[in-house]
This record gives sequence, C-alpha cells and structure tokens, in this order.
Amino acid sequence: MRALCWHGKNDIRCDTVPDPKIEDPRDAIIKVTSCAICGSDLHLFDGFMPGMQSGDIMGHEFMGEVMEVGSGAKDSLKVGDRVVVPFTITCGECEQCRRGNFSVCERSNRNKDIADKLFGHTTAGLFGYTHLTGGYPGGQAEYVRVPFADKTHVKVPRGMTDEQALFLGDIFPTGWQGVVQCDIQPTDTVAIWGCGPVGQFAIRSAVLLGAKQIIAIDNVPERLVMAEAGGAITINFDKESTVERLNELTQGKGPEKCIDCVGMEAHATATLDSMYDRAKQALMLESDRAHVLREMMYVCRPAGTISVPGVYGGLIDKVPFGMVMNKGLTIRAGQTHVKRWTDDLLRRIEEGQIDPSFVITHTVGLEQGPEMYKTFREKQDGCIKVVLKP
Amino acid sequence: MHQHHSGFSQQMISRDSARGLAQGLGWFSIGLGLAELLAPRQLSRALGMEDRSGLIQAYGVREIATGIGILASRDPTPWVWARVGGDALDLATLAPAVPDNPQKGNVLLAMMAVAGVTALDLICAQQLSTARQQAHREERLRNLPDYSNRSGMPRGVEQMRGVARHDFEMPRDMQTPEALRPWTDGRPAQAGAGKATSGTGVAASGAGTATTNHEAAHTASSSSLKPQLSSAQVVRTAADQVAAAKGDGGTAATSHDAASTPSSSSLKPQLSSAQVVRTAAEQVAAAKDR
Repeated sequence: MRALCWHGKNDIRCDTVPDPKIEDPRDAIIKVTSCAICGSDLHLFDGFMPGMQSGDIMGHEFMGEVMEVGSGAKDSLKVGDRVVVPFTITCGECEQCRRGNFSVCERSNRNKDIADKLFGHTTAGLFGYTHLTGGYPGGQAEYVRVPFADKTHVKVPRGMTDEQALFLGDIFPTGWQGVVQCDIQPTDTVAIWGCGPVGQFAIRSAVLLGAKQIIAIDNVPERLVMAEAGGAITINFDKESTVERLNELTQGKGPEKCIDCVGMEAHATATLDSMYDRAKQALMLESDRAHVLREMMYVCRPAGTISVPGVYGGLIDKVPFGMVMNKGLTIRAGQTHVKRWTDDLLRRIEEGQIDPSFVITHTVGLEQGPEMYKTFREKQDGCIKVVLKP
Repeated sequence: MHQHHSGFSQQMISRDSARGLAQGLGWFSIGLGLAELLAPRQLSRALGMEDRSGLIQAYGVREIATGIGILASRDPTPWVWARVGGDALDLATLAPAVPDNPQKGNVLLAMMAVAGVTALDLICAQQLSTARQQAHREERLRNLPDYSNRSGMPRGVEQMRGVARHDFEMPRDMQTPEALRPWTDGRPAQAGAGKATSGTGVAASGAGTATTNHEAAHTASSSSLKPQLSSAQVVRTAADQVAAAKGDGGTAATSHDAASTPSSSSLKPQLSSAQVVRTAAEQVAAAKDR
C-alpha cells in the first residue's frame, strides 16, 4: 500500500510499504477514505519531537471503512462500518479510561517504559506520533491497523459526509475540550491564541458554549478572516500589541479565559522572549518555544483560567510562574479525551449546529501529501486544513 | 484609510530610497574592490600590514562580487546583507593591526571609514528587508482567498451562540473547583436576585419569614466552605433584599441567597447571630406590613 512516511526533518515521502495485518484479537483493519494533516504533524516534520524513526507512517486524523475485524472486536464492529478513528488509542478498561481520561489510557502505549521514564507515567498510545507513544503506524495511508478497535472508533451515521465527520478524530474535540476545560460562563471573555484548525474549532466551541466575547490572535490574514466569520474579534499581532488590545477589549482587566491553540512552535518574532527561545532552541537548550504561555500568564485576569490544548513536547524556559501563583491562575492542559466528546459533537453536527467542513481549504491525493506538508507549514495558498484522499 | 495610504506611500518612498542607496553601495563596493585587487601593496603599506597584500586582494574580489550582485540582481537585499558581513570581516582584520603599528593613525582612520560604511550598509539592508516583507504581505493580501463566509454554522453564528449551554452537561472534573469559584458566581447574589423576582420567596406566602432568615444567618455563619461574611454584611444584604422585594411587590427573597451576597463594606460593627436574625426578621415584617 501507499503511505506517507517520515524520513527525517523536512523529509516526508509517499512510499510503498507492506499492508497492515491483524496482530491482536481486538484489532481491526480500516481502509482509509479520508485523512488530514494536523498542525501537530508539523512538529514531527520540523524535527521538534523526539522518538521518530525513518520509515514511520504519519497521520493521526483519519477515517474509513472497516475491512477486517479481529475476533475480540466483532461485537462492536463489522466489515463495512464507516468509522472515524480517535487519535488517542483507548482500551476502555483501565482506571483512566473508566474515568473518561482516555488520553492517558494506561494500557494502549506499547512503549510504556519509555513514556514512564520521559513523563513520569505513560500516556495513551497515539497513531503516527513517535515511539514514545507506541510507535503505531499512522493513518496517512491506504490502510491502517487500529488496536483496541472495539473501543477506539466512532461510527459515522449514514448520510454524513467524510468532510463533516473526519475532524471528530482530533481537531474538533480538541478545540472543544480546550474551551470546555475553561468552564465558560456567559459573562466570560475568551482569548484564543492561534487561528489554525484547532483555534478555529475552539472559536466555534466558545460560541456554542455561550462565551460573551471571543478574541482570536494570529498574524495570518486569511486565518483571521475565518476566525471573524466564526464570531471572533481578531488581533493581528504583527500590527498591534496583543496585550494592549486585550486589555482594551476588557476594560483593562484582561480576559477571564485564555486558550493556547499554538503549542511549541510559537511564531512571534518581534519580542525579546521569542528571540531568546529561538536561540535556545537552535542550541538544543530548550525544546519548546513558550511565548504564548508567557503572554497568557501576563494578560490573563487574576483568578482566571489558562487552557492548553496546543502540543508541548518537553522543556520550556523562563516561565513566569510567579504570575500564575500571585494571580491565582488555574492551568488546565492535556491531550484530548476524544471519546468523551464524540457522541455529543456528532449529534451537534447532525442537528446542523456546526458543519466542520468549513475549515477544509485543500483536498488532494495522498501522493501530493509531501508537497502539502510544505504548503501547510509555510501557510501558502491560503492553506488552513489539508484533507488527503488515499 | 487616509493613514493607511500615508503609511503606504512612506513605505514606497523608503523602498525606493533604499534601492537608491543600495545602487550607490554597489558602485562603491566595485570601486573599493578594484583598488584592493589592483593596488594591494600600496594599501597594505599604508596600513602597516605589508604581509597581508594577498588577503587584501581576496577582499577585493569579495567586494567586486558583492558589488556586481547588488547592481545585477532584481532583489539586492541578500547582497547588501553580505556587505554587512564583509564589513565585520574588515573590522576584524584591521583591529588586531592597531597595536605596535607605525601606521596606527591610518589603520584607525580606515576603521572609522569602515564603521561609517557599515552603518550605511545596515540601514540599507534593514530597509530593504522591511520593504521585501511588506511586498510579500501585499502579494499575499492580493491573492488572499476569501474565507469570510466560512462560519461553520449553517444557521448563523448568533443563532448558535450559547446553544450548548442548554444541553451540555459540564463534566465535574472540568468545572472550576467549588473552592476557587468567585463567591458571587451563579449562586448568592445572582441566584437571590432571580428568586426575588420569581415570586418564590417565602415572604410572599405570608409565613415563616423569621425562620427563613434564621436559616440565612445560620448558613452564612456556619458554612466552612464559603468565605465567611460578617454579621453586619448579612444584615445589610438582607435589608437590600427586603428593599428589592418591596419594589417587586413584596415578594421577599429567601434570605439564604441574600445572606451569601458579598458586600464591599466591612467597617460596620459586628453583630451576633441572634441580632442578625432579629434585625432581618424585623425588616421583612416591616416590608410586608407596608
């Protein structure tokens, strides 16, 4: 089969690789009908996440048709079912899964020992996202093996298009959880850093959850236009001071809720701290650039909440934790507990509250994937979200 | 808009002047390069660096190459930055030659000249870079796809605002912990005000107001989870509620809600719980009579 494989920094190729096989009774094989390039795939493309090996298959946002089902998954799935596959692999049985903390499933990471050493305790296995999270082949391919398939799937109702359902696997629930964990109140101003795909869904989620005022921050004009279309007031940080504008919009008090939809590769360039981050990152003294976190801590209203759905991989430096302590801020972070939200979000799509396909700007074949990684990273051609059709 | 046009034209002027400056620097580079290439011995002698004539010739080639690059390329920006790098190299070569040099004065003079040219190079390179970024942005804006109709909400954003509040059950583990909630958040004052106008207040039934207010005072003074209110605050709040109830046609709020309402004043003398109960009950009764 064909698959997009990682061969090093800036090097993703469309290779021919062996087809996947059932390895465990709870496995299923999915024929991928649609998959997407996620912003967090760029962290791998840019070489910022450790634990990748040459030839690893990329992709954790995909859906398709069930082709083969292991004997242990037959009660839940049958050949021909259309499913979206959550990017977090969940056993459904461990203590964390039973609590709904699916992204920290205790059993699905087959490289648990490495993760235990790195993070203290393991997190869930992820598709196509380094050997620290299991080294599972990803879904930017014609076929994919889904472990724990009896639990790791969302059935797609008849009549719903791939484009409407696909993002239930990652970015829609990720944006949703980013907002939900802020515990939005009707009086809240929510500031969202980053108008990429997760930021766009966070904006719509904040609308659905009834925030009074939503402010979106980015410097890419077309992304800001899409954010405005979704109901946000926008700040272009190339043209105005984020902190000054946020204070202006909140009568000097700052937003109650701040959401980081950027993560480890913040692109601010005109500030001292971002120059410092880039220098340290280049010298391998720091893995993640923390400009957005610092800005949120500074501008967030005292007793406010900071939510971090953006991906961080390792170490950050010069974090003003004194601000967090003295202002009494609450910080909530984490990979997405996808399965916790999908039933509810699927219903909202069916009811027409939201149509997630709004975010797709490019649809191409799998073989054009390597080129689209570059287009997406460079934000060329108005690219916000790429869907690949294997 | 006027400011936008004004800024734009300023940038245009800046871009044009930077290009003019770059042309000048290009010719200067070629001139200096030719001198270094063709008369290295004279130059090295004048600088007291007789053993460096080969190096001076090499620098001459570098100067000519960057000069031609500036004059021949469509975008001279990288070539001007190359000149900045060359200037640094020149200064690094001249500086060690200052001590114990019979031509020290000439070397210092040369260094001052290089420093001056470096400043010009830097200004020019920065202006060109800014202009290039601006041109890139303008190009992007010209080709900007229009996403202004991509709300993602087929029934409109305003129609959808807050719809999930009606049917989404907030998970307990993601709610703001009770102890961190602002005291007024959703409970005391707001809830009390809501009840006052809803007619569910106990006073409206004409009985049991004293008991209710007793509960109010008790709740406020005994709860260990909520911030403790002074008795004076409780009284004042109860009185406020009574006044509100009076304005609403006598439907006094349950004082349970009223008691938890925060007050900015804490300067009033402290009252005992019994006093609180009595005072609040009197207020409610008076309101009812009126």
